[in-house]
Amino acid sequence: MKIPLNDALKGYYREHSLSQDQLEALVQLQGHYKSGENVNGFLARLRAFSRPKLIAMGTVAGLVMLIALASYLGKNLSEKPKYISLERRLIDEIAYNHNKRMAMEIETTSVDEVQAYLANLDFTLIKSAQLPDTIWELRGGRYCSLQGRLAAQLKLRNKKSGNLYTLYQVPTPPQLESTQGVIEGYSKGTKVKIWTESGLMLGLAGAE
Amino acid sequence: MFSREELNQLYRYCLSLTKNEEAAYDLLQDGLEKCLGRRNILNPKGYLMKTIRNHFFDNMRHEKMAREIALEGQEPNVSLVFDTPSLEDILVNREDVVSILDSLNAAERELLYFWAVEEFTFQEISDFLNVSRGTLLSRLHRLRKKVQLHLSTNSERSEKI
Repeated sequence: MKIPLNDALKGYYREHSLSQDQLEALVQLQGHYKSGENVNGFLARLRAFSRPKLIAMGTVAGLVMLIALASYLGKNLSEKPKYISLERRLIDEIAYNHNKRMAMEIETTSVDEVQAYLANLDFTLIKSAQLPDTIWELRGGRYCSLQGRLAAQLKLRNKKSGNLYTLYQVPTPPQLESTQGVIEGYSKGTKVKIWTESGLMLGLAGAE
Repeated sequence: MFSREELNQLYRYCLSLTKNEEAAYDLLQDGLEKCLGRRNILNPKGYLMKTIRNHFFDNMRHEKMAREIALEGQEPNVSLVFDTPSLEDILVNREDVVSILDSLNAAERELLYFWAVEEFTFQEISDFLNVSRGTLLSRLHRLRKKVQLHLSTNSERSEKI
């Protein structure tokens, strides 16, 4: 039975959707950014208020802000602003991504197959000298991002303990190019190690 | 932030351009990365769609696939005395959709997508594509003829078999 072209097209496109893994990856990619939506939502709520309410709220808000500003200036003027280092941000982000436990987009023990699958990466994946094949086994890979940069997320299994780890590879950020040795840290109970190797920054997250 | 439903809508828009699921996901991811971090966007979805569109056609130009690109500015402005094209008149079998989309270029698939799936008005489509209403009507007329020709050709082939 024939149907209108627009209904047929609607049906066709409805049959095509992002996979769960793809959706999670995109949601997570957004998760590191603030979007204009928050601003627009705030503006929409603001427009819904009546003018007298708006004026009253504005006055109260203004007074509160003046008091808070006076208090802040009195307390903090001589203190240096808080600075969160890139290393700290990377450790937090790597641990956060690791704990999301997202499924791999490709399951394989071959780095070459992961490289071929993650065709959008603008760098070549490496087998790290810090993670010898005698101890570490690749289980798969997926796209992810670190500090807004497209990265590879690899799943590794430690053959000795059987535990799963997440290894991130991304081109070395300029601020870390002179980094020597391994940077270690914890975030939300997850141990993270970061180092640079062959032009890439690697981050390993998992159990102790 | 885009909801899961919006991400799927945007994915389907990318699919209308690329005709390939993997390329559609890559295009969406690229577009999203370009847009994220921008502040005070009044219409995030519209902004992302334009970013995706520009990225897609820029890549096509680089890959020398110019035959697929709609020749903006090179089409005659058609008088509105012309009969208004009506894609609504066209009836198809569900299984015809894939072959219809295969026979169209990216710009034509995009036009069908806006009309059928996003249900944009002609004015909304012409605003988004930044073309005059006359140019849009001309394209829609050619698109309708192309779809009808494809369907009648396929129908003749089926009868001969």
